[in-house]
Amino acid sequence: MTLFHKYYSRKLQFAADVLAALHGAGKKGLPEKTLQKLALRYGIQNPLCADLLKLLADADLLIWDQRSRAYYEEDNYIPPLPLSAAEKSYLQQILRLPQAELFLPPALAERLRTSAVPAWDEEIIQSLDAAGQPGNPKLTQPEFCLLLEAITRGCGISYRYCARSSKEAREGRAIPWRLEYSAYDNRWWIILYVPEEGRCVKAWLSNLSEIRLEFQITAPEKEILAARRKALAPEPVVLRVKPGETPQRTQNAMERCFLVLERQEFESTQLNPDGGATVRFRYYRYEENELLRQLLYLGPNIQVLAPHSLRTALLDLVNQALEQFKEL
Amino acid sequence: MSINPNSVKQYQMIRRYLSLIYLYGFFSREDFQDLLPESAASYDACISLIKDIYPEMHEGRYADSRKYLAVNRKDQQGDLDRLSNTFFLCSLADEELVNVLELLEEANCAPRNKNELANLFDERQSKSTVRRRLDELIDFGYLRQEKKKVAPTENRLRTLSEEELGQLCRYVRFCGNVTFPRVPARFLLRSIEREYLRRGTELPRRQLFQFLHSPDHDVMEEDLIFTLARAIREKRQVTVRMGGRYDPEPRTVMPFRLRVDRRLGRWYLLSMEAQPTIRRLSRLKSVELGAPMDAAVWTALREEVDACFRYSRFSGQIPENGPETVRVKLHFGEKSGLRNQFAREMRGGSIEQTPEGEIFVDTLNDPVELIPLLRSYSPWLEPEDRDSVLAERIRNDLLEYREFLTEEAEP
Repeated sequence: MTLFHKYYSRKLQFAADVLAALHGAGKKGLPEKTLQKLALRYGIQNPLCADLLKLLADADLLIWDQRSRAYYEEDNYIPPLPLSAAEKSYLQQILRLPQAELFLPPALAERLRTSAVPAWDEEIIQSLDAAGQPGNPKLTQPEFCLLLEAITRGCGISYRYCARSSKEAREGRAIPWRLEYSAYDNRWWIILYVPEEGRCVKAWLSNLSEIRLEFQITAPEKEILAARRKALAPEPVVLRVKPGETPQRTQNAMERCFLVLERQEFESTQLNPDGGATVRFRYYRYEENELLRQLLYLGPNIQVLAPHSLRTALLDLVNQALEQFKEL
Repeated sequence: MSINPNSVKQYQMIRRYLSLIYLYGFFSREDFQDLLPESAASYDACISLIKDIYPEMHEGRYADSRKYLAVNRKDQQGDLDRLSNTFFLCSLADEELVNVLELLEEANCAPRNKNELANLFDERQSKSTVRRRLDELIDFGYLRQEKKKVAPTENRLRTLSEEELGQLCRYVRFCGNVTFPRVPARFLLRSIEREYLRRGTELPRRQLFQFLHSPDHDVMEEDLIFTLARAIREKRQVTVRMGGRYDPEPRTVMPFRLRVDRRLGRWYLLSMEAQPTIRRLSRLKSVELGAPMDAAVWTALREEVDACFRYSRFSGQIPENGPETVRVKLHFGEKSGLRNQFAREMRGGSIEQTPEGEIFVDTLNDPVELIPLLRSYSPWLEPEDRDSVLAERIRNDLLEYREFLTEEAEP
């Protein structure tokens, strides 16, 4: 099968959503605006949305009530579309991953598993991962789910943690904001907001234990985002992608630059008259060492124009490296 | 007004634009024309479609008054990018939409054979059309064949409790960012969302994760990946067309494996052409399934390709004198965290303990592949052979850095 398939067309998928939503709404029905909002998730705007709803009503698949300007479920209800073959196969594939043990209780994973559906064959796809992947963080599945629950609800947690300076575990109370995961080498961090200090901290997830929900600790999202912004370096990084010998080489260098720096907060990108490009982005100060390594990874075709502090730090590293690589 | 791409060709054009917008973030019409000169004429039509998927896409202006387009890569509320939403742009005629829904409705009432179902639609659809559509729906997974009858497929999501559905939803959201292929994850998430709708509740949308090393740009290639995976599974040849004006002729290749670079999210095809070849998938414009191959020939050629690239990551270079071994001393000293990070980032090779300290050893067809990794840790590494091509290349790069960094920065 192909993924760009007519049965994945937004028309069919939206129609299936509408029928499911009308079933969920029961006798209350759903106002026109709610369905229009649903349609926007597929990029379907009026008049296409209105045309589609009329089509379904004309085919007696749903009922339109002019007086209440709402849609209702027909008696001959069609259950939602089941999982397609590609979705089933994908589900079986992810149930084999070690991370499934973190997210899913064993009984649920077992119920979802089936040998009838083939997962993607490792004989066909070779994934060249980083060599030294650590395992899952040392949290139990219920503890991990508590963290996700706290992030979803926006409430705080209390926990015990080990600081670098001391082996003795300490008590902590904070609001978990996001879990950060490095897809390349399977590392986990947690970004916590400490309301008493008004700042965000990033910690190894493995350093946390004895996690408990604390519903009384809350903070508005705006306050957390403001604390995050405070951690940004004051000046944006300005990079120049040097034009290569051929347009293809320049494009490769640009692509690599964007992929390596993908998570940075990009502000602008511009192609230059000489065929190169200028890129501006913001970075978090506590990630400067990693950024410097990424710049070395990218090579001298990506030049740091600003800020001065980053240029100086990079020059120090380059000088240190030249000592190691100098000719004898 | 919304339109649908009516052909795969048109869709391919859109995905090329979207890939560029995704990769480079902000781009003007002139920039597109520079990068894709052959397709500049269709810029407006494609942008109107892209705006269907990214309605919040906004236009800005550079200081020199050129307009640019900008897209938020990640869904602000869902930590999933929406490149995969472009797969929903496939067209479906109104009439077919109604017919498919009616067919599903009838098939859900009770298992019936194809003829019985075809007779129900006698007036509006020919029997052969209904039968063909049933076959498509079975192939797609929306219906299943049970002996001679067509029956609805079991939907396991309906059997899950509210809490279990939430747990699965979070896991799929996570996997949608860290596994390949990714598009089916987005489809699966849509199905989970639909189950929430059926229950009259809402999918929790709060963002849970941030991801590092999780590029999504090759999501646009996943249709090609599915076709190639099928060709490999069925031991078939394929006809590929390359993008760009330099290589417009179709060529027949024998695909054997797909390889994914998890760090950059790039896909590669290992195949036999005139000789064993590794090719970036983004260079392919289209793939068509060809004739099946003799199983014995297929196995022999696959072994040849595997042997050729046993010591390759993503480089297609095949050295005359065999692979080369690289040995680099590690000097991380007290920076044990950095040493561990280096060990995590290695894709292959090993760290040997010797009386002189730790040595990283790797054997590759094309040692140049190691340059980015070794350069990024170069302040803490020392090549055993400083006269090697690898050491010389890294040294030259470092000298180039130094020359630029000691100059005054341009304003």
